[in-house]
Amino acid sequence: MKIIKTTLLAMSVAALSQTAMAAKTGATLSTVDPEADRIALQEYMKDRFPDTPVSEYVNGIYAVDAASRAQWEEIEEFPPYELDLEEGEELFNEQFANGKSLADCFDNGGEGIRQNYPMWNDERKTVVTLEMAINECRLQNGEKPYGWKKGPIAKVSAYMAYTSRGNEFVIDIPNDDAKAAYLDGKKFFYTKRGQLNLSCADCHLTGTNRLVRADRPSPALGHSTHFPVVRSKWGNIGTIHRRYEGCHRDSRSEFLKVQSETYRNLEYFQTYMSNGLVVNGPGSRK
Amino acid sequence: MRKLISTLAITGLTLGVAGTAVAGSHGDMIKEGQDVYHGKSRGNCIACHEISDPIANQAGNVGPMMIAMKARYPNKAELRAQIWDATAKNPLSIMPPMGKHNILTEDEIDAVVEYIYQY
Amino acid sequence: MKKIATIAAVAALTASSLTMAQSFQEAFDMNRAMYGAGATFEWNGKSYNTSYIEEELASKPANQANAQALFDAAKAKLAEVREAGFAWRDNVKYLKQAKEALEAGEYQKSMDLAARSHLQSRVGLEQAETAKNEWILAVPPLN
Repeated sequence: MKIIKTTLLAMSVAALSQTAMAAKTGATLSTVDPEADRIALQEYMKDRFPDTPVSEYVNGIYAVDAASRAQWEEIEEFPPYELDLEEGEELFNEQFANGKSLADCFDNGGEGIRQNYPMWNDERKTVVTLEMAINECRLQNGEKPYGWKKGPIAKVSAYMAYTSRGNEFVIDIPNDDAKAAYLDGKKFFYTKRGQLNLSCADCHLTGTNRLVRADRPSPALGHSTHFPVVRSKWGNIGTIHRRYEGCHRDSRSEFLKVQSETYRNLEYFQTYMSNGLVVNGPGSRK
Repeated sequence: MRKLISTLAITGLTLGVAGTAVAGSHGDMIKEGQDVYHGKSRGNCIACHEISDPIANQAGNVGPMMIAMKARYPNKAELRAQIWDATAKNPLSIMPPMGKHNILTEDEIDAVVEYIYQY
Repeated sequence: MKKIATIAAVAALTASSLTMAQSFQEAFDMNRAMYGAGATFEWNGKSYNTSYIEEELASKPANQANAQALFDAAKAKLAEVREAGFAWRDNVKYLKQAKEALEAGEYQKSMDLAARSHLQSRVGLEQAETAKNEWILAVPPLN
């Protein structure tokens, strides 16, 4: 019993010092520092995978797992999203009934702008994802919005990403309201939830590149650069929120609606973490 | 404190005996534990923990291998507690709290303990 | 031993971690974890057993009144854990099945299912509470 007591004591002391240390990384609006978080995440990955340059993380698990990389490179020679890109381009250029098109709703005619999304909208005090902007554009012009997870929305988003390939992500957090949304996304990412008590970070930080049966969770850094993706498991192209829903469900949680505020904040956090990395969507993944 | 210890010890003993009686023979319990350990829709322990059982298939390596269990956990009840809720000792543990979160039943946990305690 | 005493003193000074480590919930969980359901333990001089409140409620006489009461409690608990954003995948499924069983007059079955749903909602709420302080521990610190 003495041993248990000692262990308990030692643990509570350890937990306390951990709290003191972690406080520096920002759990509150007044202390959260997105830039410090971004650098800390890069440092974490450098430490875990010293041979992987930061710029490689746009390639997900293939940045750190040489064995599956060869297979993936073969797939990418004849990308499974090629047809989706063609269809996406057609949909992008499609004229609405009122004579306008998607290009009218975006800066630079919608070309080469992926790196700015998700974007903080200060009038609405909310994060606007690229997919949300696409559907709102359609609605404003009297068209029916697309479904959120796959099909046309993913294809248009894929085309818009494709025209932005090579551009570095420059997600902006202009004020405290935006920072609160970032903090909410960060908190969601690191919070254990569901019957399996898993956070996003449990698999994609601590557990990244470890084997869960035959699967290796991708590293958290660079997560949003390559979406939308054709996933072999899906057999077609899907948005990042489709993946969020799946991951959330896998923790045995009641999952949220795609494009809900929480998932948009999560995407805001994750994409800020990818600042400095380039857009390379659409991608193909296992 | 000492009183608590003796109560615990006695309870443990009594339960151990009762448990075995309910679940049938020790062999049955080990068979059940093996099933829970490797069953994808049961414990799915193999997803993260290797074990040198010939039936093991696609073992993961997120958690430590099931080896030298008796040396690592001289007190079997502590091994049980680790499976029941690993976050009690380490709040950051990735291991799902198999007992606390009602993922496995208490009997299934007892069976898994018997199964892995052989390794 | 002196070293341990010092650590303990520091811990007690810094926060109430000592009392936390010996809270009823901690003692209950530790004993349930080590010995399963139906064990007894002492806490603060009194004797308790390791059964969940849900297990006690589900072992009441299986009748309409008890089944309805347990179903109502489980339903309220689910609303609470949903509000906190920590509902688990199967809570609602068990609750629906409990309702079906209740309507079919299968009271024991209904009580077992409602008990399970209630337990999962209750632990989900605990999880939400724990998360408030612990999520930040997982964030990699900037060196």
